[in-house]
Formats: sequence, C-alpha cells, structure tokens
Amino acid sequence: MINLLFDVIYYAALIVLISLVAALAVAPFESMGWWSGWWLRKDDPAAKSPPAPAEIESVHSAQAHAPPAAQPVDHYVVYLTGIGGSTAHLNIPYEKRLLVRLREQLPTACVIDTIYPYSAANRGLTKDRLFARFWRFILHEKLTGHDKLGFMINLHNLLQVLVCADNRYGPFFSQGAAHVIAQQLRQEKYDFTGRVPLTIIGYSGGGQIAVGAAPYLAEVLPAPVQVISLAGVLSSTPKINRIDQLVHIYSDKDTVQRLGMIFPGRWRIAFTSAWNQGRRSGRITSILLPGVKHDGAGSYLDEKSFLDDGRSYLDRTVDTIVEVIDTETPHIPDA
Amino acid sequence: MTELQQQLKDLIDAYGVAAIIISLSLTSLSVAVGQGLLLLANQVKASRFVFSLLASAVIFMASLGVWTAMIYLVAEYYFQLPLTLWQIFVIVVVSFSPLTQAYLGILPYFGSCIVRLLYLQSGLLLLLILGGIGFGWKGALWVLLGGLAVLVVARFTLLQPLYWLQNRIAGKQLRRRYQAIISDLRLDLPS
Repeated sequence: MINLLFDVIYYAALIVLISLVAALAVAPFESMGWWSGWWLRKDDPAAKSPPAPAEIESVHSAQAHAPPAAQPVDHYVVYLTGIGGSTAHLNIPYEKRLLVRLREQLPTACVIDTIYPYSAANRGLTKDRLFARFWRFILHEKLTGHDKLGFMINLHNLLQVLVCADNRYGPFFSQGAAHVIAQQLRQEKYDFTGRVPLTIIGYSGGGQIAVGAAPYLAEVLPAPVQVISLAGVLSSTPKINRIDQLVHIYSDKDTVQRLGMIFPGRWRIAFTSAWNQGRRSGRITSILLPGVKHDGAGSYLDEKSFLDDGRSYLDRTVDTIVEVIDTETPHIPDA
Repeated sequence: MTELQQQLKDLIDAYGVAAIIISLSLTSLSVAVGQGLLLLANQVKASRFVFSLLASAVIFMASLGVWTAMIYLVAEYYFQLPLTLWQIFVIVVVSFSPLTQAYLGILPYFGSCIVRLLYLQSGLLLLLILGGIGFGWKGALWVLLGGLAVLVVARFTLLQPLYWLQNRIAGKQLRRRYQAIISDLRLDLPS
C-alpha cells in the first residue's frame, strides 16, 4: 500500500515536472514566432490594433480610458498589469481601483491600460488562441471566486516573464512589447517627436516587461522615459540604463518581488551588471513601502487596510506613484 | 591493449554501428533543436525552418568529425596508440552523448546554463576517456584545449562550405549568435 502511494506521488511529480518543462520550452515560441513573422506579423492588422474584448472581458473590463479633452495632455502613463492579468482589458478589481485613483490624481495625464503585457503582440489569453476556450474557462472560474485555478494564468505569465528576462529571447519579446506600447501611444495621439514625458508603470511581472520594453522606446523618443516598478520582479536587463529613470517600489513584507533576486545580475556581488551600474549612477532608485503584501488584502492596492496616519494602503501607493510622476526626471548622462 | 581499450572494443562489438549512429543522430538533432530558436531570431521562413534545422545538425556532426580527425592524428603520430579512426569516432560520440539533452537549451532563462553544463560534462568525459586510454591526463588536457582551438579555426575554414549551404537552405545569411542580432534591434515607431 505504501509502495503504491509512493508510486503515485512519484509519477504525479514526474508528470508535473515534465509538464512544466514542456510549458517552459513552448513559452518563447509566441514572441519568437511574432518576431520571425510566422504569426502575428508586424504588418498584421491584428497585431496593430488592440484585440476586441471577448464576451467575458466586456463584462469585467476596466472602465475605458479617456484622456482629458479640455486640456492638453502633459504626461502619458502606460500601465502594465500584474502577473494575474489575462486580457488587454483589466479585470482585476484591485488594479482597476488603482487606475481610477491615478486618473483622479493625474487629471491632465493620459493613462493607458489596454495592454496585455505577457504577449509580444498584445494578444490576450481568451481570444484568437488555440487554447482560448480553456483560458476563458479558467478566467471565468477565477472571476467567480475559484482562485486556485486562476493560478494557471499566473503560471503562464510567469513563464513569459522568464522569456522577457532571458538574454537570448528577451530583447525580441521586449521589441514586441515596446511596439505594442508605441501603437497604444499612437492611438492616444502621442507625439513621438515631442517632449511629453512617458511613464510606464509595471505591477509585479509587468515590471519586468516594462524594464524590457522601455529602453527601446527611450532610444527613439526625445521625451524622457521613466519606469515605475510597483513590486516588480525585475532582472538586470542589459539595456536597463537606456531608461531615463527606474523607480522600484517595494515592501519588506512582499516576498514575491524578492523573486527578482533569482537573477544574478541583481546581486550586489555582480558589480558590473547593468542593474548595479544603474544603482550607482542614480538611474535606478528604490522606495520602501513598509508592511504590505504583494497582492490581495493587506497589499499595496488594498483600500480597506489603513496606516497610522489614516491613509489606506492604496492611498499611500497612489501618493507615492503620483509623487514620482510629478517629480521631474533627473538627467543622468550615459556612462 | 589496455583494459579501457578492451572495454571500448567490447562496447563497440556489443552495440554495433547502429547504436553509435543512432546516438550521433539523436545528439545532433538535440543540439540543433536547442539552438532552433536562433533560426527564428534570424527570421527564417517557416517553409525553410526544418531543413535549416537539419543543416544545423549536420554542422554539429561535422564538428564531431573535426574532433575525431584531430584526436586520431595526435594518437597516431604523437602518442602512437593502436587506435583506429572508427574507435576514436566512437570515443568522440560517446563523450558528446550528454548533449542528447541539449534540446533543453531552448528553455528560457535556464536553457543557456543547462547547455553550458552539458558541454562541460562532455568535455570532462572526453578528458577522462582520453586520459584512460593512453593519452595521460596532461596529454588529454592538451588535446582538449587544442581541439577547441582547431574547432574555432575549422569554423572559418573547413566548415565554411556547410555554413554556406545552410545559408542557402535558410534563404539568407544567418547570424550564428543571438547577440549579433540583438545589437541591431531598433524600434520602428508606428506611422
């Protein structure tokens, strides 16, 4: 009986391991296939416009972003959803509330949130995919309270974060992400020759996508490009110092953002890594928000937990982000 | 004949030519698959992908041929060991057999590290076998280092026709390192 139990455990572990390796092996194909032109070609209209929301998305998506019409836009903010995101339209309540608050606090900024960052072609999980029906089922379960199945979405996105952090595939993935951001900016009438600052906010895994894509935008835009990593799981992307400023907001109680330390370039001993060069030059800075978790109740985005000064955790996070955005990006010459 | 040489002979007799050829084919294909996404990075068309991949496998086989020839010449003319070309070939194929797992090189982030470890394992295996069959440890180390140097030279000379052929199959001048492609990446802003 015990032998049988061990066999079951052994084979179950083996199946899980093989599945993980297979999923990991398949993960780079979407972005590399996009790059090679095999699918979702760069001249493909499907890759140029944001995908039409699936039925399930239209019910739960974030409120449409509308840049203020009366006054000129003085800042563009692109929000890249966290690792729980599954479509180009936000469906995570905590993040939706963050964006509502950001729009309130930044009335003259254009806040863009129509990007699914874990696809080089902005292709959400629930549409135009082989397994779209499966992902719709998973998303439906997640939205109806079965969070454990929702972990599948996190796993998918985590693998894409690894692709983005890979020295071989990452730059191609990041090209795609930068292309998608540029398309969304174009749709919001961003002047690519102007000086209106651009801030990319990446939450959780979106932080890595942001630091991957931002250097490519910074290379071609005359305007300052800033990245705010909200609890981002960040690697030492080689081009990270092309960004004008990277502000990493983190918490001592957030164990997930610490996963970024699996990337050796983040270690202090890696003296010449891009990350450590950025830290020394002042291009990369960190802000500690003590006592909050990565997600859910008690997290950066919780509006029902309060600090001693009466502000909610969400208030503090929004205040911090707005302060970073309102502070002029310091000019640090390239090394 | 030393004990290890005898064991080697027994191994070849026991498993035959077919086993060596299968091992060589699997290793070569695995190495090619592990580097397969480099072809996508080169924007090789889908219709040309499989044949380009096979060409990568052939190039790997040819590099094993370079190793075989180099080790044979050293064994024959410097150490004067009674080894045939076929036996040396078997040694090389067996030494590089850890690379049957080289398909794992395709994995994001972990892949490059895995492949480096597999090459290290193959190098150590070759070192151990050569050291054991009469090259001595010092001699085996020199052969290993010399082999790497010869391989680098061969890439610019002997193997060039194969690279040319692969470029023809792929329909373009392939760049064989990711960094060479990545350094030219620039974002085209949408008009």
